[in-house]
Amino acid sequence: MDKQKNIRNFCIIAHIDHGKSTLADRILEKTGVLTSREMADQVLDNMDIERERGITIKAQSVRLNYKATDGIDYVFNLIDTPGHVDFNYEVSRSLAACEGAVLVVDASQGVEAQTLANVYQAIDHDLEVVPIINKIDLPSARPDAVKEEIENVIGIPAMDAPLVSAKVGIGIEDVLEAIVKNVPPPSGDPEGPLKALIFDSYYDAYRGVVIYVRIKDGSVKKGDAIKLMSTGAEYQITELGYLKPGFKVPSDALYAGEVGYIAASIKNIQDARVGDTVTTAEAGAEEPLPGYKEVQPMVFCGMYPIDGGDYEALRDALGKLQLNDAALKFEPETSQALGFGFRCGFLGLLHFEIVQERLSREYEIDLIATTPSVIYRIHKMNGEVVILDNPTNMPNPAEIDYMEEPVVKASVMTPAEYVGNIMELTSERRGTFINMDYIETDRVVLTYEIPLNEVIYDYFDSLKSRTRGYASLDYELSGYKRSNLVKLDIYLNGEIVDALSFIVHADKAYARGRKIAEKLKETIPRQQFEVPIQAMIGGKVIARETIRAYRKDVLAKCYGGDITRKKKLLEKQKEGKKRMREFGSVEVPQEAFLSVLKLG
Amino acid sequence: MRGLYVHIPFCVKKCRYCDFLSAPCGPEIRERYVDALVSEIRRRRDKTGKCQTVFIGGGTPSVLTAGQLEKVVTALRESFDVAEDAEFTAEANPESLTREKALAMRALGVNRLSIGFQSLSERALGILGRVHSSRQAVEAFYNGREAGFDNINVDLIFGIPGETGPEFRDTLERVISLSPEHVSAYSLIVEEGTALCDDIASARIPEPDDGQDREDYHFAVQALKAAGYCHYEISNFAKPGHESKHNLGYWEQREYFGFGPSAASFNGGRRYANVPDVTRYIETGGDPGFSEDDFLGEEELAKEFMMLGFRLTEGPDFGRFREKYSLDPFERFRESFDRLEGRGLIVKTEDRNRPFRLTPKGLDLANEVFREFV
Repeated sequence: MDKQKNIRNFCIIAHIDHGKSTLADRILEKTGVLTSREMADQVLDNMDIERERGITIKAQSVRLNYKATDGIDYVFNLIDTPGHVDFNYEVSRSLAACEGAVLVVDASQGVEAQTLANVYQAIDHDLEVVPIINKIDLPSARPDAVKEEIENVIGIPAMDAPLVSAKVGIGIEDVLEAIVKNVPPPSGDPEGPLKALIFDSYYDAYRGVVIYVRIKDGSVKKGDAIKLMSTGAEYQITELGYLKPGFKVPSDALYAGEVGYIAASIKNIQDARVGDTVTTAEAGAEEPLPGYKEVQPMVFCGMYPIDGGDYEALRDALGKLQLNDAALKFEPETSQALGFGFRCGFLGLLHFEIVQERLSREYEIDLIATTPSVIYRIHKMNGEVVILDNPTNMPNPAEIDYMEEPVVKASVMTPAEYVGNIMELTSERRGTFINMDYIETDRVVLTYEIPLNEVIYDYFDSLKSRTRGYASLDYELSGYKRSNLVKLDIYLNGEIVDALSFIVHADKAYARGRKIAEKLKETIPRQQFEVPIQAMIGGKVIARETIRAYRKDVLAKCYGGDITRKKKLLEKQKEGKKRMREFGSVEVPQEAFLSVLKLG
Repeated sequence: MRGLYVHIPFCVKKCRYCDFLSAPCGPEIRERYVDALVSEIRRRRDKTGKCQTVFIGGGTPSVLTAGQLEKVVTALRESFDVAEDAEFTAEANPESLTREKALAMRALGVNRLSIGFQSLSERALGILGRVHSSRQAVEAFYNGREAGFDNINVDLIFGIPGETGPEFRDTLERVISLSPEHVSAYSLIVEEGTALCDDIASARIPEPDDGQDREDYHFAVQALKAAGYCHYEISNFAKPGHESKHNLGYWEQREYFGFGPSAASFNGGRRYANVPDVTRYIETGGDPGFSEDDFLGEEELAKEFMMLGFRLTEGPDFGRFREKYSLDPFERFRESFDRLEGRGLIVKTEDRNRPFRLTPKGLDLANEVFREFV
């Protein structure tokens, strides 16, 4: 029991850019895990993509030792969480492994849409929320006003919140003390049957699937036979231990309240589902832990290997990514244009981009992705309802009575001066205004109903750019709504490119068709013959562009000193061509597809 | 059979389209450079084979003084076994090819001149950033003739942005009327990092028009053939017997030694090039190290043989290929030949030794052929 009393399991929640990762790094530094000199920037964001984009995607967990001012040595388990709205589900996974959440609020920005969403999630998980005010070193900091805002808007006490500058290193000890004082120790039964929640996992070529667990009840030691409760699969533990930044520390056992990893040569990826409960094979628990609400992907697109030979590798890679990315869904599909691939489901476009980048970097698979689509409901004349996540399967318009599209309830929190800009943007995106609340004299929450299709593309980016980065967004699916939708097809050299078909609101079809045709003209290199690009609805051409033919492709000179250089140039061109797909003998580079789908 | 190449990285002024290693510089640098060059030539002394060709290129070799040229040529003859009847080319630009310079070259044994005309249109010369006029170009040509050169090449460029078809045709007709033994006609390639490339990017001059470029090329091929030149390589034309032996050496994958910064050497299996840095070259006394050094395996050499061989209008020499490599060219490259033939880029010939050559379409799109062999 003593052991358990001195454990603090917590996560850090914050709106994106409020300094969560920097604070986490400071805590690591303060608890002596790293000296500041050893520390690479933002240790917990260890995927390349995370560092480059400055965002946290994956939950990370790490164990720290802290000697508090009361003289007691505490064990901290810090579980880092993602900040982007697309990755809310990751937050909920982390929360289930903790007793407390440190809420970071930017001293000049104040409470934002995601701050609220995260806090409510934490409260739903019965976590103790420990607010702290960050970035107090900035001239624009207004800590007292922000404290008041936290009390008024969120409704938790904040007057004693530590004032921190993670960047400069002010107030870090206050944060650690607040954690000791306010986060309750774990309360599980150390003597009961083992119940451990899997909150993350990944595939290791040598150890099989490695699972990250929070031991709720009981204990587990090396050599134990364990059972994964949802499948009943049994394995023997080969290694367990806890986590330090960037490496694992094997130990003999894990006890109730602790956070750690377990390797048990789990070869079958499906056996180690995040959210499942681990117990012992003998005398195990009767009932699993509540687990997680299953996340539903909202955006779908086809992913096809550029090199058809990579199909199996892609299947394998998607399976491995799915291990610690519960929201990623995929099933096989075929396209006339692209061959064999997978229909994949994502939470949003950022999630999609991340998966695509990870496939390319970690598995070296080059992909072509089709235009993303949401799930439409098509009501046919004969009363049948078709659920459509792939525009290619759209029934003949003559058979369609009407169509429905998913809509979200979106809250946008913003300084009052940008309300006009947001209203304009959101009405361009077919949003319906619901209401506006003042949370302070100069800050408001706007609530809208917006078609999901409009949100997934660049709504968030546009929102940021039209409010100088001040507005924040949170949204959730709220239902389906009848809408006037059409299918837009793209033809290259007279042949349909099924991968570029998409469903769009009738009022926007013309503008989008034209934009896409222009973009394709820019990104498809000139060919040996003239290539018409047409955007069509039904049989009607709504936009047309032409790519001129090239007539010359010849190195005029090639002498002794040039041969190597010219060869390299030709090799590079050849590589480029390999990465292209042929449609009706038109060579289309991957970038063309990407640029079209980025158009939104 | 081997060739010697000497690089002279100097010019009066850098031309706007030029991406070779060359820049203007003072007389003292030139002197020190020649010393470094002589050191390199002597250091790499090799008399294991006869040298059938010597080529002094650049840059602008004609900016060197007669005495400097003599030092270089003497070093070459002392360190290598240069054949009595070797083809000995020097490049020259109109602004520095005086009658005296031509005579001095002649006296050193140079027997072929290659003069950089590029164009005889004043407007085109301006766009290219040449320092000479069309009149100087013609004068330089006569200086060469008067000094006794009976083998002269004229370099031309077509497809110059803003140049019209009639302007190029006028240049070409005037060149033909001079009756040089050899004409190189190059399609302008806008290389990144050149002043011309910037001019185009900033719209100071228009984008090159590849329709006009091809019209010029097709006209040149037809007009030069009509004037008795044979079209033996993509960009090269010669009166019978006056093909450039030195350059044929490159396309036939023969051995060559290159001296000077950026110059490449090839010994049949290894290709290496000096670091392209004049200062370093001088400071190291002509031993700057290599910027590339590739050991080529048979597979790679075989592909390169085809890539280079298809530059020749008669096509690659399969007889020579079989002598050099243990592969059968038909077997090894059947798929490529089929594909290229199917696309109308190459065609079968009657000649057993040279069974494929580029079609007229292949001449315009030759990179598609070359890419099969990289």
